[in-house]
Amino acid sequence: MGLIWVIATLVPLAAFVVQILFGSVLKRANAYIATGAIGFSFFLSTMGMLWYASFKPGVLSPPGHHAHHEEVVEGAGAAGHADHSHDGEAGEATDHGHEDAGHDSEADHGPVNPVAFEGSISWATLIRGEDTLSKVLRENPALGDLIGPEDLREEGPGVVSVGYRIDNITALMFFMVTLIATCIHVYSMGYMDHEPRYGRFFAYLSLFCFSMLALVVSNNFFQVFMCWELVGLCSYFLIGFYYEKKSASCAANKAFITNRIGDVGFIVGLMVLFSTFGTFSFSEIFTPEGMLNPELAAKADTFWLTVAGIGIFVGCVGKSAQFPLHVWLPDAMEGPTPVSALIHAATMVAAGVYLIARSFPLFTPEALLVITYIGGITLFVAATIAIVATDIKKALAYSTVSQLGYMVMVLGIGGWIAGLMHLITHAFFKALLFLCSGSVIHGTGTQEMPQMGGLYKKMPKTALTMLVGVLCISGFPLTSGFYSKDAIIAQVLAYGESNPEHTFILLLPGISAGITAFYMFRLWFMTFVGTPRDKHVHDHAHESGDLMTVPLVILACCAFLAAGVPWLGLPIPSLESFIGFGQPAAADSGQFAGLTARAHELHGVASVVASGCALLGTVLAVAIYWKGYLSPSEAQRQFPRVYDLLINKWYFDEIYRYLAVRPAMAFGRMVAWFDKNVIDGALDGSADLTVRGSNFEGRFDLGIVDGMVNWIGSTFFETGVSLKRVQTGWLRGYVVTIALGAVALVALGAFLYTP
Amino acid sequence: MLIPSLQIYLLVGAVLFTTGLLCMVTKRNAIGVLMGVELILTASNINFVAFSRYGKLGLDGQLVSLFVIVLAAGEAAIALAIAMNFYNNFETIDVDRASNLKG
Repeated sequence: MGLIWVIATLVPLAAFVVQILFGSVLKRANAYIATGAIGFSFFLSTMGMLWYASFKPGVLSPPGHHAHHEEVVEGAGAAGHADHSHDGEAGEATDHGHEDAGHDSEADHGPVNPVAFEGSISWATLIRGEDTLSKVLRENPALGDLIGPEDLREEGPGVVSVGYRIDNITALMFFMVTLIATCIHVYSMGYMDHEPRYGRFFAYLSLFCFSMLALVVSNNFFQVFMCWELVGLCSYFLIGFYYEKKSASCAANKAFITNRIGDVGFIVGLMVLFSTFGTFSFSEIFTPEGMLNPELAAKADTFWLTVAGIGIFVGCVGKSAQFPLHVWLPDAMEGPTPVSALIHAATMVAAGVYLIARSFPLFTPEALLVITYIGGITLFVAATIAIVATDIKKALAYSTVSQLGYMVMVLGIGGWIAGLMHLITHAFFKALLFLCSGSVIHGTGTQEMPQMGGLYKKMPKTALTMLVGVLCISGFPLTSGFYSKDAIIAQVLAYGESNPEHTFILLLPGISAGITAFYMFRLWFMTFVGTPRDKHVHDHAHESGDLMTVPLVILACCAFLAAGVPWLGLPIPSLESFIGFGQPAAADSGQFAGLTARAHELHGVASVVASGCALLGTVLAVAIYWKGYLSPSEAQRQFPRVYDLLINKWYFDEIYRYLAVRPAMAFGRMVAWFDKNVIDGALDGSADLTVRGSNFEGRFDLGIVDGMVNWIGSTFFETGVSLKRVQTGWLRGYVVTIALGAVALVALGAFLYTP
Repeated sequence: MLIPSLQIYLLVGAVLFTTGLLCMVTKRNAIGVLMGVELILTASNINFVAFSRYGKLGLDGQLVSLFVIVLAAGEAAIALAIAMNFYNNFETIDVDRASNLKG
């Protein structure tokens, strides 16, 4: 039944092929094909969700009364697992089984295998080379005592396959991606209506959908990497969609190059992983309950595991726009707004977070600490920049970076459920926010918030749906954002209790929650309330058509309800319990043992903290941007240094210009000079030499060789001409000549003869 | 009385040779030239035979003169054929007209 997902993945690919091959015939009908394809995928993924739920009923059990207690037990059990895996002895495997069985009988949702369907076809076989040390040791068994057999790395084939692996996260991500993508396809039909290359836009969207879905269903790292590159390619195409604009093509290049830097890390991580484990497959690397496979872990060195983990994380840093590679995402806003919503807010940038979650058991504590700090820095830096952004899309882009920072950070401190929850809820409300901003841009023709204001009356549907998005992202109670952010803060508090040395980084999510609420309300107030700041823009503003507003309303409902309806107290599963079903044991063992349970206990405190921060930010935004009690320009004058720092985006672009771009350019110029002067010089010199040699040789040939031949010829010719006169044709003259000649000869003979 | 001796024969040969040569030089008629050639050949025959008789050639001189006679016959046949052809082409046998190969 995994075929449902396979088909749902391939349908957009088929749509892409059709659109590319017959695009010139189909023209605007491309939009219907693309939308139909993704809509069908959405239908299939809904079916798949239901099927998955019927196959794994545990996923639907609501977060019941016994959940807390059970999870503590689980934690202890999982800690036991961790010990086993460190021992790495073969006999322990059976113990695993026993314990699992025990858990299953004890509770309905113990550490069960969330994977419902899996399948793959082998695609290529890579040969894992033997390293020199292992070879020497193998050939000289006498040396074997010096180093244990676990240090030997044998040669062996590693299969690269294409496959699918359906667990609750895959099913959920698949559902989320197809749902949002469907809404955005419909929206795009309205938004892109007057654009040139209308058909091609939808072809790219279809290719992107295929790549993203294939990434999500992937059952091995290699396929993830391929799709990773494919989504990056689509992102590049779509950022540079208006390639007539210099800024758009530059932004596309920037995104592409920045992502390549991340991908270098990813490739290094994959190489280390493959040479250590000899496989890319998730199911071989991880145990069903979500630990690193103890057999493989025994072979691996902690150092190399850390390198692999950080390498993979560097890929995520690029794709999910984390500090220090976050600079591409705000520039990516040059692309059409639906693209910003789909690729650069909801799905592709979340792929990095998804990958961190997917490979969570792989990360060593050191790697996780790196992840935590990178995420923490990102979420704070991006949130502060968003405060002063005036471009509506750029403000949202920095907000996206900041929210991704939240997810990455909380994953780093073991908040697996919280991170993925925020991933899902954020996807919905950020897609909504972007589409709303697109609607505003469509209606007003400008992206600059200082030119907007008072648009509420003109575009009420957009304003209200956007308000829902703003409430969600700010984390107001009952909204989905409240639950996910609350889970994050709770996890942070729980982690902070046991790791006080990291308090500094743990303060940032709370502070940033306030900043988030502040800049989001600032954005909304600046756009929709107050007096119109630009009369021309205001006069021309109009509400968008149904094709655009209906997806907004649907997404607003989804965004609001994305976390489920736990506030109704009904026995319906919430997002948290759905995700929690697949929580890997690694996220609740070892250094994280008992953290999930503790986070549950801290929910109350967390929600007070999160809501309090959000409320503070909101009040400040109301005071400044709505009621006008405080003047933003006054604040600018009071803190010029801070303002300069923020408006220049912490000078990241400038730093990179001096550290990376300029040296690269200088190096390029140097190489160009070398090429032009040394290599080309040598070539030109040899060419010149050849010409000179040829000239000399030509002169020799013409003068001496030809001259000699001609001289011989002409000499004989002249001789012939002069001898011609002898041949008189007068027969009797010949006779006389012969006679006289004979006489002369006889006379000569007589004269010379001396007896 | 003239006693036959080598000198006498050589004298006769020389007279015949000179006659033949003058005939070749002076005659414009191809047949006349042919006749001069025959005289010269005869002169050489007389010399061969005379040297055969008075010198140490033995019968070799006679043999060579016999060859010369046979060759002269062949030569006459060929020469007459040439003359015929020449006449066919030019309607004359004046050798001075035969100057097509003049350089």
